[in-house]
Amino acid sequence: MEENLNVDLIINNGYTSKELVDKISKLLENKDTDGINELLNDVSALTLVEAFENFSKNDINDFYTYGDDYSKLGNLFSYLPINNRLAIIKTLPKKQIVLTLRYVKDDDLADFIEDLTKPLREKVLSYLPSKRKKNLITLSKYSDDTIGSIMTTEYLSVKPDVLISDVFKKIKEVGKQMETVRAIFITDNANHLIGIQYLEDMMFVDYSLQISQTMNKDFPYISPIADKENAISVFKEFDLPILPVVSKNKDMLGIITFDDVLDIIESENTEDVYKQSAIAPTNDKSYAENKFYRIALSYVIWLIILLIINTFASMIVDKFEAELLTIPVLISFLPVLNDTGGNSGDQTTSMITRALATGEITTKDYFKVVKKEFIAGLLTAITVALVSFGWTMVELNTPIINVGNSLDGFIKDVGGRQKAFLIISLVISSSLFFAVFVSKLLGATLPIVAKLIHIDPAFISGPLITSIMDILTLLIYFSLAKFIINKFDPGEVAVLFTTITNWRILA
Amino acid sequence: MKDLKHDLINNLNVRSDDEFKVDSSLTSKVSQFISSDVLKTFIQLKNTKILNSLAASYDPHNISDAVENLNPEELLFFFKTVNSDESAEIFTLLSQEKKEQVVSAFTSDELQNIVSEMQIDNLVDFVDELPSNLVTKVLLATTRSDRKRISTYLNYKEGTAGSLMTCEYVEIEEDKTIKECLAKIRKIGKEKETIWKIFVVNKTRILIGTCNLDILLENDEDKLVSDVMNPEVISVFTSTDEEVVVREFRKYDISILPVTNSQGRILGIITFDDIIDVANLENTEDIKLQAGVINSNKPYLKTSSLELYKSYAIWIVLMVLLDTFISIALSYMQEPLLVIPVLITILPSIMGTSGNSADQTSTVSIREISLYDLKGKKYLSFLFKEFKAAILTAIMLSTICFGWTYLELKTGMIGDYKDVTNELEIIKIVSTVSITFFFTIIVGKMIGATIPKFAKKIHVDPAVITSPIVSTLIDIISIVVFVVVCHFVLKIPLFN
Repeated sequence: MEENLNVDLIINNGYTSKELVDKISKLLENKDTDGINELLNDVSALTLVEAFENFSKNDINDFYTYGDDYSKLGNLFSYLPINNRLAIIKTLPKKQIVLTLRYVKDDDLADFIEDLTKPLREKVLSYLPSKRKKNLITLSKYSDDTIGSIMTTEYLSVKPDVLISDVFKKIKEVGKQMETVRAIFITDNANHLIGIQYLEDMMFVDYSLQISQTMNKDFPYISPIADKENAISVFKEFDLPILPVVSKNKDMLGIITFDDVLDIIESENTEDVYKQSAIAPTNDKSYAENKFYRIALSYVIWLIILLIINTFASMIVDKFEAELLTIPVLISFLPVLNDTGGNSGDQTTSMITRALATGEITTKDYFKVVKKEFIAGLLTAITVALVSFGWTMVELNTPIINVGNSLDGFIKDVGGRQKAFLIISLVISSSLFFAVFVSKLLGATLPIVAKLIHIDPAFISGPLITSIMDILTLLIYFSLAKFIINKFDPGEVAVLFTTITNWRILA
Repeated sequence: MKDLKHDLINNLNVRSDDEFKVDSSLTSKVSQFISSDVLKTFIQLKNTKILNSLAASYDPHNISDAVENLNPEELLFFFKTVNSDESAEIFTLLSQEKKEQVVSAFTSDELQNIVSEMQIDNLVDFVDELPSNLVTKVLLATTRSDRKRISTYLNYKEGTAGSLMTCEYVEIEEDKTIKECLAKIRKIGKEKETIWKIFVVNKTRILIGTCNLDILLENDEDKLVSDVMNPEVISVFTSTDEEVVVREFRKYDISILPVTNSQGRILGIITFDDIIDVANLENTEDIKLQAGVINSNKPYLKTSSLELYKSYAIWIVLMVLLDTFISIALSYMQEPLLVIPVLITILPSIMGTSGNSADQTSTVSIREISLYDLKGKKYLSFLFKEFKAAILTAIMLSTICFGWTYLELKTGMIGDYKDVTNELEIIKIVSTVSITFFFTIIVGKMIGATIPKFAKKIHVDPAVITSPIVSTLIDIISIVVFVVVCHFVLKIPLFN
C-alpha cells in the first residue's frame, strides 16, 4: 500500500469529519444522553471542538444539557472557544454548571474567570465550593509570567507510612476523579513534600513496603514565583513528565506537567522572534488571543521609535545633499547600502542573541565571540566588496542603471567615463566593506553589553541594529563621496551649493 | 582514614536549600548533589558497596556530572563496579567526549555491561556520532538483534519521526483483561522506555487504542483492555517531519506519540524528552534562517570562523544582487524627486519604516503558520485580522508621521524650510509622506501575510524566502508609491 505522504498525521477514531458532524446532529436531534456520553469517551476534546465549528452556540448548549458524563464535559469546556463557554455559563441551569466546572482544571478555570466581566465572575465563583474558590483566588494572584499562573492543584498525595498496596487501593478510589495520576507525592503532617513516587516505578516494587522506602527523596522542584522560563531548563535536564511546585518551606502547592513546558518553550521563542522584528509585547497573551487593535499597538510602538531614529539618518542625507547632486547615481545605491549593513548586523545579532538565550554562550565568552566575528566579518566584507565592485561596474556600464546625463559634470572633472565609474564603484564597495565589517563587530558586542546591563538582548537585534548601521553607513558613504569629489574639484561643490539654495528660493 | 571517611559522609548531606531568592537561577534545585571528589575518594578506597549505593540513591544526572571529572582509570573502576542498570543510565548522560573516553579505555567485553542495558534510541544517537574506529568496538559489544535495530534506525532519514523513535514500548492485544495486561507490564516493563502508555493492538497488530497506566489501575481487573482504552489514536508515520511531530505534541497535550507504518502497525514511540530538544532546535533553526544565516545546527562556539564566513557571505551577496532591482527602480524614478531635494532626504526613511512594518507581519505570519498549520478558514480569519490591524497601524502611523515630519521641516532638521512662510508648501510635502506611509504600510503588511502562505503552497520553507522577497518588493513599492503621490500632490513629473 502506497504511503499517502500528504497526510503526516493520522487521528483514527473511527469517524471522518463529515461522519462526526452527522453523528453529533443526530445525537442532538434525539436528545441521546448515552450516545453523547459514548462519543465523549471515543473522541478527544480537540477533535470534538473542531467538529463543533459546524454548530451554533445553542447546539453546543444542548450538547451540554443532554450529556451527563461531567468529567469529560468539564475537560471539553477548556477547549471550547470563549463565546461558547460564555453561552454555557449564561444559559445552563446552575446544577449543570456546577457539575461541569467541577471537572475543569484549576489553571484553565482561573484563566477563564480572570477574563470575565465582574458580574459574571461573581456568578461563576458563587458556583464553586469555598475551598476551590480560595485556591483559584490564590492562583490568580500569581502574575502571568510565573509558574504559579500555570500550575494545577490537582495531584495525589499520601503520608510516608502508607503501604504500597494501600496506595494502589487509593488510586482505584480517587483516581477517576482526577484527570491523570502519573506520580504520587509524599507529604508529612505539615504538608511538606518529602518524596515523589512515579507510578511507572511503583509497578516493580515490593507491595508490602512503605512508600517512604521506595520513593525518590532526591528530586527537582520549582517555586511558584519562578519565571516560566526556568521550568524549561529543569525539565530538559531531568527528563521528567511532572515537576512539583513548592513554597519556600517545601509546602506542596501544585504541579506543572510536560505539556505546560512545551507551551512555554513555544511562547518564549515566539516572543523572542517577535522582538527581533520590532514587535513590542503589550500583554502576555498570544497573537491568536489578542484582538486586532492590540496587535496594531504592538506594531505601532516600534514603528514610531524607528521613525524618530531614522530622522538622524535623514539628517545625514540632508547634510550631504551637495554630493548627491554632483553624483546623483549615488542615490540609486542608498538602499543597497542600508539593507546590507542591516542584514549583516542582523545575522550576527540573531546568532548571538539566540546563543545567549539558550545558554550556549555567556557574557564571559565575549572575546571568543568577537574574535570569530572579526575574522568571519573581515572575510565576508572582502567578499562582498569584491563582488559589489565588479557588479556595480557592470550596472553602470549597461542600461541596468539609468545614468543619463546626470554624471556628465563629474565625468568631465575626473577625465573619463570609465574612470568615473571606477571611482563610484570604489566608493560603493568600500562603503559596503565598512558596513559589513563594522556591523559584525557591533552585532557581536551589543547583545552582550545589553545582557550585562540587564536589558533583553532580543531588543538589540533586528531594527535597532539596522537603524544604527544605517546612520554609520551613511556617514562613511557620504564622507567618502565628499572626499572623492573634493579631490577632483573642490570648487564645484561650492557652486552647486549656491545653485541649490537659489533653486529653493525660487520654488 | 576514619576521620576522612566521616567528613566525606557528612559532606554528602550538608548542601542546604538556599533557593527561592528572587535571583531566578536558584528557584529550582535538587536538594542534594554529589561531588566528583567524593566519588574519587571511594574509588581510591575501592569501596564497591558504597559506590553502588550512591549510584542507586542519587539521581543519575547528578552522578554523571560527577563522573565527567573522573580520569580513565577511575572511569574503568566505576563502570566495572556499578550495576549495569544504573551504569547504562549514567553513561547515557555523559558528554559525547566522555563517552568516547570510556569506549577507548574499555574492551568490547567490558563495554557489554553498559551497552546491553542502554535504551535503543540513546544507543543509536551515541553510535551515530562516534568516530568510525570506535563504532566497531561498540557494535561488537551489542547483541546481534540490537545491531540489526541500530542499523535500521540509522537508516531513517534525519529529521523524521523514524529517526526519533524508540521501539521499547509495551503493546497488548485487545481481548486481554486488565489483569493480564498488568502482569505483562510487570514481566517486561522494566526494560522499556516507558510503561505510562500501553498500546492496544488487534489480531493483525494494527494499533487500535491506547491506555494510560493509571486507567488500568483504576478499573476492575476483570474488564477487557478494549473496554477502558482510549479508542482515538493519534499517531505519525516514520516519514513524518519532526516539525509536525512537535506541533502535534503541543496541540494534543500528549507526552508519548506512537509511530506507525502506512498500514497503521505500530513500529515505535516518541517520548516527550526527545521532543523538548527537537522543539528548541527547530526554533533555533527558524530564527537563524530568518536572519539569513544558513548553516547546520552546530553550536556557535563549535563553528569555525571559516564556516561562519561561508554561511554569512552567501546570504549577503545574494541580497546585494537582489537589491539591484531596487537600484534599477530608483535610478529611473529619482530625477523628478531631485526637483524638491528634501524628498530624496525623506525617501530612505520611508523605505526603512515601510520595510520594518512589512517585516513585522511576515514574522508573525511565518510563526503562526508554522505553529498552528493555518489553512483554509483559519488562515483567512488570520488574514482578515492582519488586515484590520494594518489599517489601524497605517492610520496611527501616518497621523504621527504627519506631525513629526512637519516638526522636522519646520525646525530645519532636514531641508531648508525653517524660514519659509508659505505653510501650504510644507503641508503639501508632509502630506505626501503621510499618504505614502498609509499605502505602503497596508500593502506591506498584506504582502507579509501572504508570501509565507505562498511559500508553503510551493513547498518551500517560508523562513528562508519570505524576507528577501518581501523586503525587495516593499522597497520598490515604497519608491513607486512615493513618486506617484508626489506627482499628484506636488505636481512633479513622473519619470525622468
